[in-house]
Amino acid sequence: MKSMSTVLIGTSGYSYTEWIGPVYAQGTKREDFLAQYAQLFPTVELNFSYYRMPDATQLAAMHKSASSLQFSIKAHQSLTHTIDPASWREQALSFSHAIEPLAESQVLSAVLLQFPYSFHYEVAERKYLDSLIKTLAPFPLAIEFRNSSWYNNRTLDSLRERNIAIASLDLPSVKGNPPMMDVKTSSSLAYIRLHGRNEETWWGSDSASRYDYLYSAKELTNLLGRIQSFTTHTQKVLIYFNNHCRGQAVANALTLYQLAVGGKACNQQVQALSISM
Amino acid sequence: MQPTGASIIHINVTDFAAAVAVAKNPSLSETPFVVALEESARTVVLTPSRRAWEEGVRTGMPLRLAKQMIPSLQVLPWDSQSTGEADAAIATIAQAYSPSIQCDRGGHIYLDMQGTTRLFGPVVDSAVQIRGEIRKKLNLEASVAVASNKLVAKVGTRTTRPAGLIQVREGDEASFLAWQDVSLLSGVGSATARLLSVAGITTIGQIAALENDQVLAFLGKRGIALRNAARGLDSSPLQNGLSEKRIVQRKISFAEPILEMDSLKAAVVVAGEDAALAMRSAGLGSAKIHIALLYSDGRRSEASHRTKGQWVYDHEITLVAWKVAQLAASRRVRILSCSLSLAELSPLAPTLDLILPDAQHRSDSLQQSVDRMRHKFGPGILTHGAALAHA
Repeated sequence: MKSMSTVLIGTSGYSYTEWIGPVYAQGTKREDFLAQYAQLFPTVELNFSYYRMPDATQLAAMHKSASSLQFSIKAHQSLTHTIDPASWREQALSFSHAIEPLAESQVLSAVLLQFPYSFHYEVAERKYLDSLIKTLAPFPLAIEFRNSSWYNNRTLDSLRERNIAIASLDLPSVKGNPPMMDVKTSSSLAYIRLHGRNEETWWGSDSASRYDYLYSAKELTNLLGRIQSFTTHTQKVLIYFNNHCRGQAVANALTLYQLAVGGKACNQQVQALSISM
Repeated sequence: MQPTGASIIHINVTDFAAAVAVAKNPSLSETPFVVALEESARTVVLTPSRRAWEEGVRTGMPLRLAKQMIPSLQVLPWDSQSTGEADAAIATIAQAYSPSIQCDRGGHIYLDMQGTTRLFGPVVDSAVQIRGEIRKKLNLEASVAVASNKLVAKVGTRTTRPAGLIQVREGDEASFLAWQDVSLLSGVGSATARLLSVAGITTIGQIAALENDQVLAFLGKRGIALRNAARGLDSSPLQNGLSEKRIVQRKISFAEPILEMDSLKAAVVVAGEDAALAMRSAGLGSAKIHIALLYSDGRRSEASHRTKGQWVYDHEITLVAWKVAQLAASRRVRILSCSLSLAELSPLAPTLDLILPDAQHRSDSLQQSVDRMRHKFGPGILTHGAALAHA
């Protein structure tokens, strides 16, 4: 029998002042963004945690302000981009302590480890990754590799053994990006990140321009086909739109939800519910 | 997304016979079972189910060993009708997306999507849609890959099986292959893998990095082809149509009508060897041999024989062909010509070693040596003694 998956759709980040107007009501204060966001979506990917180490009090408060939200959280850069062999374990411990309130409240859906292009499939990197995974083992993990050398059968087998999701990416098809690849490596989690397909601005521009893209309805329909492949024998499927420029991520996430439920009309309250597929 | 230039789709339903069995009977989905021909002399696992695979059962493993590993293991016979129907249904789905398809039996199909983006959008989207249709209509999970050639697409589906998706951009073939396990490369069987392992070569990229003189010294002349494959080079076109509908045919017309059976046998052996060489060169084996004789009075007689498995080698094919020819030659009338057809073709399995024959399979060893000689000096350089009567 095929088991049903819970599919949660959200965005990468929620705290964008430029979303006042297209997403949040005019005059909305920054501290109220999350509560309003939770009216729209059942999940959010927190990415501020990449830039500064989160703390438990802060995350507990976020959960309190949006108790319906499931959280995914991007690991701090000291664990993925600026790894110091002498101190990373201490950083990992700090990060673990910070996210414990979310885990205890059962609203932590995933920890995202996003590794940069400079993180190659070499022995030292593999050893580090293995150690990091062991350190963060109590939490559900998803890994995003930007270097294509990781996209091989050995990596996939290793992740399967550890029941860790490899993030599926939707990126512009330009030189330097990893191949588009969807593979189930975890029975409990699938993790899909949609970065937009803006080929012109992907390299050599700021992040706002890089993620300035609005998926068409046809593209979203095809994405739904990719998503459906994860919904057999995977407990939870998380989908995050990262094309945040001008609130396009929100527009696309809402459209994708409507497509997923078969085009049925839905109001914003319904949107915040998960989908079973 | 703009077209990437990668227009070949490979669809691969992993462990096809087992997957078809589960699609037909979903209650088997959580059951460890294998598909095997129990009546054969040395019974081996043809296809393990996903659950059996997870327990360590592999294709080619002796059934006795598999049963030791899983005492509750169920053994299902090969269901050629259901697998054939599933192959045909997959082909029907694929044909709606491209007129240029190569259908290899066993859940493998290639599509050339060149020129279809205006109609269907990006090739990878078509791949996703085809996979979705196969799932929805046939209840089969497939791995799909998009690449610029068949070789890379096939490695792609092997990397992401049993149900993944990958798109390898044109120009990224070598870098994609570089870190894959050597066993994913067509032409690397168990013996070659062992040889490479002794030399510390475990990834395709390590083969790709070998210089010509290193390849020649280490792997011989055929090694160059393997090294080039490791670099993602493959210009082989799609062989359009269903493999089981393709045939390899050879016709021998006698200079004078014959009545002697020795002459007929010689012709059958020559035709059989020549057809078999062409078939193996295409990476195929045959499940049906057909003989048609044309008599001097204008009448024809035909006979054929099928196997549940696959005929690959000269000695198998010529032996069976001669038996079939004897059945066909039921009349005491002079024969003008003899046609031999190898039909119901399917991909060779398991992968034959491109470089080294597996010592455990002497037939492979002998046949590959013979084929190398024929490729080098011509088909007639080595033949069965019985064929000399035709010379």
